[in-house]
Amino acid sequence: MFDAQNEKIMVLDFCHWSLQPRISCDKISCDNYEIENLISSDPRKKLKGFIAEYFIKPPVSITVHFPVNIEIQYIYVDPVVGRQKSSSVDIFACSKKVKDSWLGSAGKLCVPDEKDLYFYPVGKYFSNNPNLVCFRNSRFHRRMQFDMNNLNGPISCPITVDISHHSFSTLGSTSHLTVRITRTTDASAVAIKSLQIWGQPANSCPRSLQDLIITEYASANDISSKQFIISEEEITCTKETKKNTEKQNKIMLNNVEIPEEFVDPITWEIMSMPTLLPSGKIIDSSTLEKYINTEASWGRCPSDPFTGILFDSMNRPVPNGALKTRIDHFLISNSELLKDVPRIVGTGEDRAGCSISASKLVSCTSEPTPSTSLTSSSSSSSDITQPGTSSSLKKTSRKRNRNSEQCFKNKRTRSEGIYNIDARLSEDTNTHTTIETSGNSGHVDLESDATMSQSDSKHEEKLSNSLDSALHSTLGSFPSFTSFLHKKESDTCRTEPNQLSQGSESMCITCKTPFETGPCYSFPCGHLVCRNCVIATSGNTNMRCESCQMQFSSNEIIRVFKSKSK
Amino acid sequence: MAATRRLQKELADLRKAESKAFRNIQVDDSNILLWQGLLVPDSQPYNKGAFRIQIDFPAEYPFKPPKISFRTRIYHPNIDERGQVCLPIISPENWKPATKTDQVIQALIALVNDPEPEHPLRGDLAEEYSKDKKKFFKNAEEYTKKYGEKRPSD
Repeated sequence: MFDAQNEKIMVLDFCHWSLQPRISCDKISCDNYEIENLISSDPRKKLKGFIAEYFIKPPVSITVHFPVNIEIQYIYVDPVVGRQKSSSVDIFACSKKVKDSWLGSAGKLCVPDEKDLYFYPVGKYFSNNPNLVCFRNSRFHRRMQFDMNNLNGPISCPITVDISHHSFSTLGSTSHLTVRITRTTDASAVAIKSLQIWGQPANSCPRSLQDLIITEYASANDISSKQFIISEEEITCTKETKKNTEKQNKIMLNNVEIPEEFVDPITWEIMSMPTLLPSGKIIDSSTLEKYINTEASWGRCPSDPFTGILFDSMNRPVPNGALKTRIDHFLISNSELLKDVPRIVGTGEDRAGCSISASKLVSCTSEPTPSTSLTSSSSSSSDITQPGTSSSLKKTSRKRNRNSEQCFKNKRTRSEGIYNIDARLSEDTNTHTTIETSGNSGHVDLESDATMSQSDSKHEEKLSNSLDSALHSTLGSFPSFTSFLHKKESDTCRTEPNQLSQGSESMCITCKTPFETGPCYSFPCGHLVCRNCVIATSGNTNMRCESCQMQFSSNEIIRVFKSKSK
Repeated sequence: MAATRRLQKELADLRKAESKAFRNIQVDDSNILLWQGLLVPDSQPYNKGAFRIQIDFPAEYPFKPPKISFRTRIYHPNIDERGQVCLPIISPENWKPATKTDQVIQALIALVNDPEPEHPLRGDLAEEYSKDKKKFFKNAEEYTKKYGEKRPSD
């Protein structure tokens, strides 16, 4: 795409390597994205562009020093390298007489005279959505005509910004040009994909130098156009070989390539919960935990496994959520082949053990999860009106355990349950409370969580065991969507309501029709009814179980799913 | 097993590196925790032979250090008659899980090439080494020629 008005090329790109511009940047650059890439003769490097080190904040000044004074017509700045976008570009020019040009004096090192450089702002470009921008000097007068067919001229560009300065020499006899990036979009690094400065040697430039520039430029372009083809082949070649060597290094798992960044550098396994260490390395939290445990066995404080520097409030591991998201995305998109890789916290072995016990679920969640509240409502009436916190659930289960002879089938017990919980809630949780409940429920010991955790662990174990079995038996009648919640029928839960009604389980207690087809519903007391009976009675505000005469409201009825095997 | 993937990776890296000083790494397919290799030192007096070593990784690797032992007898102040080596980098209290086997082997080669008589496993040899180096070198060379493995040709 050539500019229509430039059938013949009349300007030269002074950022072309053949004209030996000097480029410098006041900030450090990212590896492989050096500032010299912008004027490199190597097309590979030139394609890469310049990116400042990621922690560098704007402004970043890039200064080009020309071998001769030049008159500028266009300056092209492409401020986008991949996702890195510089949104604001300022142009400054300086016109200082270039006394002895290094051009033509091959091998002779000229120390650039950096004194008395006065830069004047000549143009500015800002865009939230930056793109290739052309700065145009409208006062440019072309004096030269080069008849070279093989030269590329300046391309046309949709975004054009005028540059000007009241003094003609600033742009008419420029020796230095500074491109300053003052802003970037969305915390991106400072980046410049390409920089082209089109112009002609200034009038003040000696004739001999002007001729030299033209011949150099022409011959270099001639060669480079050929070179470019070769090097493009090279690029593809090197890319292929690189791919091959990379392939050997690749971490393969079930024929899936795993990006190295997803792998823990210590255990060399895919990370399930990446953690960023103060040393900058990312390891899995389980690895760090193991390391800290090993260190603790030597009586040492937690430290960075790579540097040995102790963790403190400033230097501590932080979870890397972004990487975790990417790993999860990768695993999900390759889930067919990577079935055995754990996706959530925990290793594959944990999952193989397949026992996430319900009590653990309860005690580690501070708020009741839907499943536990569902469980409580279906298993014991006492929790229904009190959304069970973890402790209340525990207590109920304990109570149930103690009263193993007693069934929760009458209203009295239900009200007791409410009373117990109310009482517990009103009590200071740190005190040891004992509540005598009336009836045959016996002696119910209600302890606070704190006391409980301090007290014997055996007791706690017993507690969680009973809760586990209770939950298992209750959830047993539900279809299992997760592998680890397989129902395990244990004989300790004889007293469970739905176990209770085992005899009548296969039929509706109201109309005594067997549940062959169609949904069935459970009253809070645990008795099952068919849909027709529920509909027939649902008009009443106070419903009553036909079998045990328990009263409840219609919103306490839940739908249950029966397993076919029974 | 936690150690497997890490060891596979380290083994692949070591084999790819083709180190001159540590070669012929043999690992049984059924037990990746046990490596054997040939240590080829290049300094006097051990440069007359090669030494077979065994690296024993615990199942908890990399959280526990590997154990290194010499299968070939060697006349060295820091290596005892049974082939046990005192290498600080793999002592349990110094072990860092980020340490690579490659680094351990480098440390071992450095120790073999440059004995440390200050921390000897064989006091007699350490004494000889520090008092009469010439004699030590002569003995060590003889020993190496007598018991050492054949050095690879290249």
